[in-house]
Amino acid sequence: MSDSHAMADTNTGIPSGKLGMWVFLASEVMLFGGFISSYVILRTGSTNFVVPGKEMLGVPLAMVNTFVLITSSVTMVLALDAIEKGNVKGLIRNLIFTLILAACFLGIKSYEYPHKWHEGITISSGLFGSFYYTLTGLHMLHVVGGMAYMGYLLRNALAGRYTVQSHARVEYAGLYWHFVDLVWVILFPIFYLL
Amino acid sequence: MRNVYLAVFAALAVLTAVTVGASYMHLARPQAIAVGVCIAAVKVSLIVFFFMHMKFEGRIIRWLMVAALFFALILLFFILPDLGWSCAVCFGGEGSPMIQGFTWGIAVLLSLPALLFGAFAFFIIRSIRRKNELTRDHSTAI
Repeated sequence: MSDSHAMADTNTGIPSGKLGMWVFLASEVMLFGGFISSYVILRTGSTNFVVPGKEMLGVPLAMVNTFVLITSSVTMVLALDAIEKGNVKGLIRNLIFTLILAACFLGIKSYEYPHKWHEGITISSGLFGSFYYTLTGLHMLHVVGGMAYMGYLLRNALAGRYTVQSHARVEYAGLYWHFVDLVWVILFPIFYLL
Repeated sequence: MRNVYLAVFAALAVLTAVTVGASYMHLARPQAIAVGVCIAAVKVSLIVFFFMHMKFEGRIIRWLMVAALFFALILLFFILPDLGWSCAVCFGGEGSPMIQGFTWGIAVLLSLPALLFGAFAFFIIRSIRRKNELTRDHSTAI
């Protein structure tokens, strides 16, 4: 694991891994931006856009899910905070919390999807359903990817590979995870509340 | 920093509760959208600046994200006004506002690759120049 800060000696002054992660996140902004814009434009512009009633959407459950994801973001940042102080145990504990919370998010979503399907909101039932499953599904894939990333970090942390001097990957994983949280913060109001 | 993170967490939790509460208040459509979008924007900024440490990042990363956000918002704001002015059912007519909006959107997106490659070339040339300067400085110093 050679992600030491000595690598930070680049032209830009930014470690290559960090710059790479931000460029990747910029491309993610475009990906989600494209989908969200087409959702907003069709919702305001199309006469065929039927928005299901609020009681059909299960707002309380989605709100719980929002809390779960926000909390997982906090445990992730606390994991980074711990290893910056050399606290490996704190890092491992917070990574496990983050993984559990991510699994909770997926669990609630896997309850939500069949429930909605029964209520008649399916992927082919109309524009709302299509957008709902596409965007939340894409977001859910990102959560799964983040869990894989965190599993990798956890394995390395358990092997004692992260120290005060060398923990850049924890930071990059954090950037990714906060971005996933951020996307949900946008999806939650546009699908459930407005 | 720990306390800052926990304070941000508390703010995010409260804002989530507020935005859900506001959505049950039967506000008029424009107000409801304004409240929802503003609260989401505040939450996103909190996450980006504190959790993702944007507060401590330099110019390059900030401008990278500004550029991405700008082009993502172009998708939205170049087409939306045309929708507002046109009627929803006259979609697709020759020279209709909707078509003009799309034309402009396509023109902007076409110019994107040129801009992007230009930016890459700029950075590469600049770093080559800088490297040359550095080696020159070194050779004169020795």
